[in-house]
Amino acid sequence: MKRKLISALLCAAMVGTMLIGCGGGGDSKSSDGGSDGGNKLVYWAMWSEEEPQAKIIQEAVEKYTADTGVEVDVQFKGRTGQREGIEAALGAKQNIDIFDESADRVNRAWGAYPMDIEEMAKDYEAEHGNELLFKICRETAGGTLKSIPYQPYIYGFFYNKALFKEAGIDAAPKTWEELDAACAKLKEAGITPITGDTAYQNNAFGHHMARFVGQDGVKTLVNDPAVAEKVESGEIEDITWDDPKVAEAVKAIEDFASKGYYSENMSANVYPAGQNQEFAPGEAAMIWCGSWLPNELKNAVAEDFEWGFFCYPSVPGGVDDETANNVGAQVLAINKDSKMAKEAFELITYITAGEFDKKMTEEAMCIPTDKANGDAWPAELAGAKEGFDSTVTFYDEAVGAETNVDLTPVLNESVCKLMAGTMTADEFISACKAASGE
Amino acid sequence: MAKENKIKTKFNLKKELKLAPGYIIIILWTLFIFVLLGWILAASMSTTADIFAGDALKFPTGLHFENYIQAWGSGGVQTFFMNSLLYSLVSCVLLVLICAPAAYVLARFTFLGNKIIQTSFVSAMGVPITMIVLPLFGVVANMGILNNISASKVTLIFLYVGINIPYTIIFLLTFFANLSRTYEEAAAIDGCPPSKTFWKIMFPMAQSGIVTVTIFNFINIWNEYFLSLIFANNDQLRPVAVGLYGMLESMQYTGNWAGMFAAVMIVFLPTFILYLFLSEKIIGGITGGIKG
Amino acid sequence: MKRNKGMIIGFLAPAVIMFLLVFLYPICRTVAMSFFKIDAVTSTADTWQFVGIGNYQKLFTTDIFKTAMFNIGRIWLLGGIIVLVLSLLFGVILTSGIRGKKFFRAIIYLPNIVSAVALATMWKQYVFSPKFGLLKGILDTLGFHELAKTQWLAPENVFWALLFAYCFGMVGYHMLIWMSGIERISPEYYEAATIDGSNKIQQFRYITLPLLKGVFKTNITMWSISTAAFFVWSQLFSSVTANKATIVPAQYMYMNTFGGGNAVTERNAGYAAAIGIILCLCIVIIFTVCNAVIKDDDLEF
Repeated sequence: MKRKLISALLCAAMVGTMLIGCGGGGDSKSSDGGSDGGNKLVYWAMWSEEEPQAKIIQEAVEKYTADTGVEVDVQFKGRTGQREGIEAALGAKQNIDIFDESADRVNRAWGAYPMDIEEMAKDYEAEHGNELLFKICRETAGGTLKSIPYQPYIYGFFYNKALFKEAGIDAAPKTWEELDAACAKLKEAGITPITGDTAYQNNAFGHHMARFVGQDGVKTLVNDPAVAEKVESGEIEDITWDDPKVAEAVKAIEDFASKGYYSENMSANVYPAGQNQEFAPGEAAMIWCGSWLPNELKNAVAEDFEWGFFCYPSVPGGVDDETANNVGAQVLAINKDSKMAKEAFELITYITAGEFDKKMTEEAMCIPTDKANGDAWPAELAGAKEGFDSTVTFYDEAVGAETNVDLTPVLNESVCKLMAGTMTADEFISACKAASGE
Repeated sequence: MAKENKIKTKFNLKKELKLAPGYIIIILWTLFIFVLLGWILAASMSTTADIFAGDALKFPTGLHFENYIQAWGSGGVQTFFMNSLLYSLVSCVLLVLICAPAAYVLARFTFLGNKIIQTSFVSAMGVPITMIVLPLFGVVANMGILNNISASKVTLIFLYVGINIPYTIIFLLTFFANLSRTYEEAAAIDGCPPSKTFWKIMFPMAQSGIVTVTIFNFINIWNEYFLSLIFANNDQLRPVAVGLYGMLESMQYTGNWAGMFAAVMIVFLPTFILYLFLSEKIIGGITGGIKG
Repeated sequence: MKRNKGMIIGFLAPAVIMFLLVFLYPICRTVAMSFFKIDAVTSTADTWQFVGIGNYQKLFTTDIFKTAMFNIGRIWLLGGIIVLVLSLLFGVILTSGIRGKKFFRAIIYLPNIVSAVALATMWKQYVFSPKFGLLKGILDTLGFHELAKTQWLAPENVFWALLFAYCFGMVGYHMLIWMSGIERISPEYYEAATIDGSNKIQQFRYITLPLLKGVFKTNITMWSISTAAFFVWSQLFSSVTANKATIVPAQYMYMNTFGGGNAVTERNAGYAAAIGIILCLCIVIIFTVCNAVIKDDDLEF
């Protein structure tokens, strides 16, 4: 009896699914025509539908279609989806006209696919282009323009202004000594001076080390395979883990840790524990993060939260000062095989300039990319604007500290332990030395 | 299953007491699960600030059902849902029809290449999915299938089945291997051809294994992410996992963690209901069916 | 046996053909790739640079890969013992005739269907939280105040935190496998044993365990396979790329395939393929050893 029941169920399932299958097939016939007809733009976006950025892009696309009559098929892939999927799709010559991701990824990792738009973008750049961001785009693409930047970001220390006032600190620290003094005051007032999430500590360490030895120094220190040739030819100096400057830099962090400036959870804060559980509720005063932080924390902080920002402080006798920062941007690129490059470029201008760029700053707390919107920075990022505008040296992501995949996990663990005070400077150096293959 | 019926008919204190240690262990573990999953449920109706202040279970600001409305609001959920249902159901049925006979033959008969086939199935499961999916994508893309929705659906199902074949067969192997040979011998004496013996006698006898593996397959395919991401790269083809994974991601990036947990609950509910249906209705029925 | 030839071929053909179509080409390609330096998995063969066994040599001299192999080995062995013992215990209890069996079975399996993203977030932000964590609460209630202060996610402890969280989710799956095996054991054995006066533990030792050999093999194989693919949990418990304490080969492979973290790093799909091949070989070895050690041909019931 039961056996019959099972086979009946299986049969029902079969028939049912066949019906769904046929139904689905029938419906989609009509919509198939568009996508391979070549008169429809296909845009693979790094955002997910629910993000405010995606909603604004969708609006921009609708306006573009209304203005020009060109249909656009936007596929919101999300970060992971874009990273894992687009290379295969581009490699298989799928019909994709526009795609986006960070400048590094689009121009370097997927550098074989974007079209050179130096000519096409001339007028746009003159009218809207942010000099700094276009420079980054060109640098990452080996000297020519293959992408249009939008949604810039900068890394730095965000701080809670109310807590600084409470501790009697008047100005944001600019040097390591000033930071030391500020932390001491906070500590005295019973406030945890610095917290952070482990995800960003390589970046913080990169900045720290680069203040002492510069970005090239950091890259040679971690044995970035990309600079190996330059080191051999003597173009840049090879910094090793035995360098006294490296020891000095590591000792500076050890010193902070021994004074109890870092949160006791420093090595256990898996993103977003630090920003959400310590910084947002006002238990810790400072956190190292990117300029997307206010947007990520808008649901978690009190309404009267006062945002402050300062760049990584400079150190005595160091190579770089606070005008050297990790500034970057997402970029939009056109597939070199696109048959609708002109239309694609026009759509890009809808997203990156004027009205919709401004909307991004309002609804997603982004930094504006259009020169004309130069003053439209969200109030939460006012401090970041100063840092951004004063930047003259542009660091790569994490200042090159994450360029050696074999070292990165060890470095991250060691930096977190160093800050948490569970590892000494000497142990730190010998651990990193072993893992970087020196 | 006569045993179970007996328990149901009368309460025997002595018997229950003997089982007490078992009860205690199981109840503690279930409580643990309840607290953990309950926290996710509570978080989905809380606010991000409350979650990270450690107040998810206290609801200081009341219940926030708007998280669900927002999570549901991205639209297209219905399409994802129907796609997933289609992919999972058809693939599961095909998997049983293809794998059960193969597993039976591999478990029962000694022939040249048997061990080699088994070992290749096992080693196939060890090959990382990226190494299988990405090259296959190149092949499929060159065949021009990707621009046709219906052909893409067939391809997807074909791949879901193909990818799960080694797993299903290896899983079913032991179930057939452990069945008594006396049934086949009796059937052979009665003049029943071996293939008929399989479908009429052995297949139903392995049902507990078949249903178990079908549940696993169903949940695997329902939650399958990477293959769907690569092959279903059009909104009309997307299954739940890919569609909703994006939603989870976006909630994290916008710092809407309460919304993320609401999305989790939405993804989770269909599998849970289907699981309840499959396990309670079918497993319960089958074990009774074989032994009775 | 001769007359079964047609049936063997007929029954095997669909599965084998599907298998060959879906797996053969990618596997061969992966094996070939492991001897080349390749930028992306999708690169065409003309851009590959032959490096011989260079990728393998490099792997075995890279500290972080050795760490990853060590971690996965620990997960396989320790996690395997925890999961298989716990799941067998639950399986036996649930089939011992307790009330509410179906209910308990459904609840214990439940964590398996919840998205790993949600489960991991729950463990990280709630259970292991040093501020208001469930674990801290339980330990405080029990009076272990020092232990309650432990930073479960700090590098010294995170591996154990991860292992426990992962095992918690896997128990239900293996319990179902055990149960479907136990339920096939004829109740007559137990009835006979009860009449002979043997208790539950003796029955378990002399009836259940020996008859579960085959299912045990299935469990080990399945555990090994899921361990080899172990990736998502490590990823969710790490910061941007990977943590030294929790890095596993699949994660290292991912870093070499898609790039690690936010920085663009050198990618080498051939190197990634070599990692895949090594993992694959490990599984074949485990399977072969299992087959040799646990012979279930002589089991008949």
